[in-house]
Amino acid sequence: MSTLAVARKDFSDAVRSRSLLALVALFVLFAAGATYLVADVLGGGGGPEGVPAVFGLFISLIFPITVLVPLIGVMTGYKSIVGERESGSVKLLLSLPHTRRDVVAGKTIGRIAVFAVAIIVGFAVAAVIAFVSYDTFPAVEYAGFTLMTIVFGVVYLVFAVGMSAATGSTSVALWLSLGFFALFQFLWGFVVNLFVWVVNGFSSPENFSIVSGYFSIEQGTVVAPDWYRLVTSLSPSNAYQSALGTFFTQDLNFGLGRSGSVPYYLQDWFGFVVLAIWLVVPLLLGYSRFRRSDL
Amino acid sequence: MLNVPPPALSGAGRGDRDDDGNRDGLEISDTETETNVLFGKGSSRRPNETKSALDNRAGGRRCNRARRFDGTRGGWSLQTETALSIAPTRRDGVALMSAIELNNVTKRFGSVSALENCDLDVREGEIYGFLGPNGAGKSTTINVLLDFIRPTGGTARVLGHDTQAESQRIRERVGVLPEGFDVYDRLTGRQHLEFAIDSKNTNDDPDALAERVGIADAIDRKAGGYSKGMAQRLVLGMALVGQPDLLILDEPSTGLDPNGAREMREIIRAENDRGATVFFSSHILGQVDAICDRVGILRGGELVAEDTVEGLREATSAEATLAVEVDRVPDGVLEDVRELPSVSEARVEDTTIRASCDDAAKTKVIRTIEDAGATVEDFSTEDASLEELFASYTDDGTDRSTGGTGGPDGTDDRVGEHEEART
Repeated sequence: MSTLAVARKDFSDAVRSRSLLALVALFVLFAAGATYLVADVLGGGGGPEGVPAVFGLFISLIFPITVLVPLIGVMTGYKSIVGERESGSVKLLLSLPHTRRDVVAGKTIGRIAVFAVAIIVGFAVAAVIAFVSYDTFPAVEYAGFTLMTIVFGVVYLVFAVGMSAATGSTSVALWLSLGFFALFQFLWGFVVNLFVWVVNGFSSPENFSIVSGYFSIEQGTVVAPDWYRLVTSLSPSNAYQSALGTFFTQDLNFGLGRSGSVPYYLQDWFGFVVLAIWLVVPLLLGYSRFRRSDL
Repeated sequence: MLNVPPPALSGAGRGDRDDDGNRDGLEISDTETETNVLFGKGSSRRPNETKSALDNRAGGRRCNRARRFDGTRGGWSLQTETALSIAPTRRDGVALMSAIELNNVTKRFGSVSALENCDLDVREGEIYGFLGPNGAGKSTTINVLLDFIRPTGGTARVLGHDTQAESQRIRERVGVLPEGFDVYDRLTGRQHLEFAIDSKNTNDDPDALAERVGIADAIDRKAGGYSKGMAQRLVLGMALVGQPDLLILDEPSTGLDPNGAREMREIIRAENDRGATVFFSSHILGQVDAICDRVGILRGGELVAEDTVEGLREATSAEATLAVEVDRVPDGVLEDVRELPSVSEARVEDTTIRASCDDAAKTKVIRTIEDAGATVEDFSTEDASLEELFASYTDDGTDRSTGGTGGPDGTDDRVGEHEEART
């Protein structure tokens, strides 16, 4: 109950501060704007051949989502606990019969609620535009897309909350969270490649370049070892796309078409496992530091 | 409440004096002097309390004085009669439990020691004033009690629960006014109170709480626009939610004007009368001596003194200096005064006779001077006040040139006003 009291307070704080309103406006602008742009200005989005045009919308949205959504997640979460520590309001919070676990859990739930409301509203408005603009509207897939986008953003939000719990300074929490985002969103492939290159005695293996990784000589041939493919797919955005693949019967290349013949950890559903790990581990680490720290 | 005359004790209370007062200025002052004998300067012991209750409250503790004044200013001996060797008893005679118990608590931040082997025992039902200058470790102690920080060594228990293992259970029964807090700027006063009510799972009425702490007219405003004093009141209101068994108030008068500080004291008294133990810290003695049953003085992370207020006052009153202005100094008057028992020293400066004497002997001194043929034109007492005592502990025993700084000197005729002047 204590957790929910904290979550409720945090949510009403967000409502009062109009940060919820700002987030909703941002996502409406983004989702509706991008949908309008793709559907009505750029002419549909151009999905793969033989697939209804509306699926091109999803493909077009993926890249902007994987940049904007994590950033918004980080911004929503990074101040949650450390901000109260810096201002001293955490003393009010912990003078009441809440445990530190209640605080971390309640803050996490409160912020997720804010974030989820913003995404749902934004995507709902976008759905109306898509519904009007396309001949068909795949409601189930769209719902799955919305849900997974929330989960994806929440990974970063929760990471930021974890950092917010772990450190005593808002700017440290912010930079750690942004660093996490930059590492996995932009640098991850390169980092893994660099690792391969170093392990290989500071030289590239066959069919490998440090910039683009393993490359196939002929189409359809896969030369990258399984472990390499696993590690590269550990980034939240790859996991997000893998998980998305399970919602679509059409091959949209979200999940790189992985199924059946590859090891279980390279199949699309494994994206859920990866996302779950990202949801839990940073938060637990942050909580364990928060639990031990002097306020 | 403050102007209600104290009960007649030993036939010298103010109640039977006020009516015939105002015959002349001296009479009023005289009354004040005698009141001082009982209550100490500036004291306003619960006036509505019966004598027996008062006695009981002090009972068993008056002898617990941790330090005795050895006659020299700033020279408080370290002689300790084991504090609490006699367990205080409740009014009905039941032995009291510990509300707060620190055993050998040490807290170091790196190489800096904030608390050093601190022992503390606050009994259920008492009002305990935790005194010390800024940085003495008061907030550190309170932070340990609330598990905001963890001691480097030693154990702390609150209401019988370990502060680390059972912190939540403690905070279910404790109301807290922390130090260095901030309110939630965007939430209204009502939302703050509702949050506390929600958190403690009680059914208090936010409006009644706001009324009680004096922010009823601001309850629906955002707390971000509150003044420091209003924020302090709001958080006190949150602390009162759920009728806590123990109130922990860290510098409760911060940001309050004298009137607010008085209201704060009234709330503290009312909560204590309800049965709550009150533990509060302050660096201002004037806030403490009027309402505390016992006082602990902390300096440099160590508890350097602990006593009942009465005990401290008794000790300090021994050092009071009475300054009597006369029209002329009759021959031999100094000798007469010096011969009085409990007068340790007397001297003359121009037409002022100064006598260092027991508080109780002041009237006798004046009478002796009058008997010698002098007309007393004015007199004042320069108490070695609690402030001075406090200073002697907290200033590392260095001398203080000023005398009693408790407020206007003995010419002040109303105890209640006197107390307000101190805040």
